Amino acid sequence: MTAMYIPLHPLKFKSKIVDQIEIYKNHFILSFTREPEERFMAGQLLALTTAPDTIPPRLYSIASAETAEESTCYQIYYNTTKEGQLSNRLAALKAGDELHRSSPFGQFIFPKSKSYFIAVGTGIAPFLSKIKSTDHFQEVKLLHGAKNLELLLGHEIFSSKLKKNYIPCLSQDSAYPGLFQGRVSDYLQNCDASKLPLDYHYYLCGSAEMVVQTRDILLSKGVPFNLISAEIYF
Amino acid sequence: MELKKPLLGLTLTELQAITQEHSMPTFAAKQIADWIYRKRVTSIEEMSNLSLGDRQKLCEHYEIGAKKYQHLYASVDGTKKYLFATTKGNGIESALIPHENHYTLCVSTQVGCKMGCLFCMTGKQGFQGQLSTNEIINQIYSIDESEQLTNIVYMGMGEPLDNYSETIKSIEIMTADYAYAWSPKRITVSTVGVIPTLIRFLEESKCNLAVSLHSPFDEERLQLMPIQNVYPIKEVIQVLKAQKNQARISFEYILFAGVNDSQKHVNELARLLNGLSAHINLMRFHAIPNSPLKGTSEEKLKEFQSALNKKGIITTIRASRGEDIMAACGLLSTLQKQGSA
Ligand SMILES: Cc1cc2nc3c(=O)[nH]c(=O)nc-3n(C[C@H](O)[C@H](O)[C@H](O)COP(=O)(O)OP(=O)(O)OC[C@H]3O[C@@H](n4cnc5c(N)ncnc54)[C@H](O)[C@@H]3O)c2cc1C
Ligand code: SF4
Repeated sequence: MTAMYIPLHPLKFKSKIVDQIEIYKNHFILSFTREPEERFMAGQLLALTTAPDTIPPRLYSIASAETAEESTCYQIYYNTTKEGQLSNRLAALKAGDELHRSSPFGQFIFPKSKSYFIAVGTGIAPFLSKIKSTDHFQEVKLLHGAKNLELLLGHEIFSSKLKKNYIPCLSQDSAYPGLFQGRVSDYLQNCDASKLPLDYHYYLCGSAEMVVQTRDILLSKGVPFNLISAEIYF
Repeated sequence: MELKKPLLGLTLTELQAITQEHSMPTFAAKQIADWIYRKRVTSIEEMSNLSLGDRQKLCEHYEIGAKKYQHLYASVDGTKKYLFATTKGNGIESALIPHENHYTLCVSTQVGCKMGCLFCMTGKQGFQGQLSTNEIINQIYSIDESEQLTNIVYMGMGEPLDNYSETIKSIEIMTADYAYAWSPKRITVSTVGVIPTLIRFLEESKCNLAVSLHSPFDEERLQLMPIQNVYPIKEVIQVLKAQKNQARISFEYILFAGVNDSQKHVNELARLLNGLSAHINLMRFHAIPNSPLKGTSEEKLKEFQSALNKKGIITTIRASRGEDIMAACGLLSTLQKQGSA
């Protein structure tokens, strides 16, 4: 007899919305309840939807900390897309509403040392979770891109925890001359290859275009492909 | 002015919705399908068993919607690469691979791709958009060898299971009695293993399935294929093992020198595929510009094959075709896009 396949990420939990903040046009942080015994590792995902019978779940990286003050809640950082079925419904959720979700899953997890994180936009979520969850970093770098300062989610935490190892890049906001003006890819393209350590592992997160472009630049600067892992928001 | 919508690529149900909307007889939908898919008419006026009034109604809003290819590149080995322009002005590719009296067409389902596989040129484009069923079927309909085709492989640009609804509709048109009535055995869909739509595909279609494997080790596959983070190959295999009809499943394995071509890989592949009656297509790597990966030597390829065979795994070495016209998926259109950037 053939074994029945049981879906690996069933939507077995209902979470209540705790809070929703629009941090900038069409960009939101959504907080919802987490079961007290639930554990996850920074970098993992949730499959979720507002209506399991009609809208197939989409995947979102967890942006909240593994531990500490956020342990009763999950947070995701998302933007609505034009005609996007789920993201526009998520944006309409209010405190007390419900969503259906899976347990955390995914293999995009990282050590707290010798890691070079590179993210653009909502792709910062896994690294935000990691950095919020960790107090003592050894040799962790973060290259973080967004259009403007409002969208550079977590920049205060990153600056205070990573100090000079935090490199924010603003692609459409010239009001902060102290910050790198341009895209993450511009920063890497102009970066001296000696500044890209070969004893670190590189973790990239964002859209397919961003990941592929960034990976190509790293490769062209001599970073071996087996030092690069990526999460694509497909 | 309202743009006319294409009829090519519509399923019977969609054609029925149109005939109903325009108060045409119910049987007219089947007649239209027959004119488009079997009789290959080039205009609605030629659909002579529809009343003149119905043809006029259709003509107001619809056209056949077939588009000729923009470029054709022919290889010395007979392989051909067709380049089509999409409605949004991007370029997509289809490759025709003749072999004895077989003609296989490799079709695209997306413009670019979101999966970002390290070894793939299409991945370098990022994602530009989904192809409609019309744009998928048009690749089959509009090539010079359309009526000689014996097999279709969904292995061109894009991940078919990331454009599920259009892929499955195009399969319906290829296999349904009202259109081409092909046996599903002549069609293969290739995937990196997007599990939710993979499960649907296995339930809803009888076509063959080719899963891109490329490494049995999680860490290594992750570096080659970012999808591994979300849908690890072990979970994909678990889904496949639950299938009754495993004969329609195969795996694709590109050999990269010094990366995934060792005895250790053979052993792990045997462990991973244990209990699954599926075979592996071993493929040579079509080099792409600035790639850190190199193809395995012929000698090593044969060694790898024989080591797998000794473990009881059936393998085929896929012949390299059309290298002089860059037949690897996405090479031409990506270079074209990069050139115009
Ligand atoms: C591993 C992973 C992690 C992710 N993490 C995050 C995250 O942390 N934050 C985040 O914001 N996103 C994340 N995503 C993306 C997320 O899962 C969704 O894909 C995204 O939110 C869009 O969902 P949607 O329902 O709004 O759009 P969908 O309805 O799925 O549509 C997808 C796209 O198609 C377009 N589209 C929809 N309908 C049509 C139509 N009729 N015609 C033409 N185009 C159409 C939309 O404009 C949209 O751009 C992640 C994805 C993956 C794979
Ligand atoms: S190999 Fe297929 S899935 Fe991977 S990037 Fe290329 S087209 Fe996309």
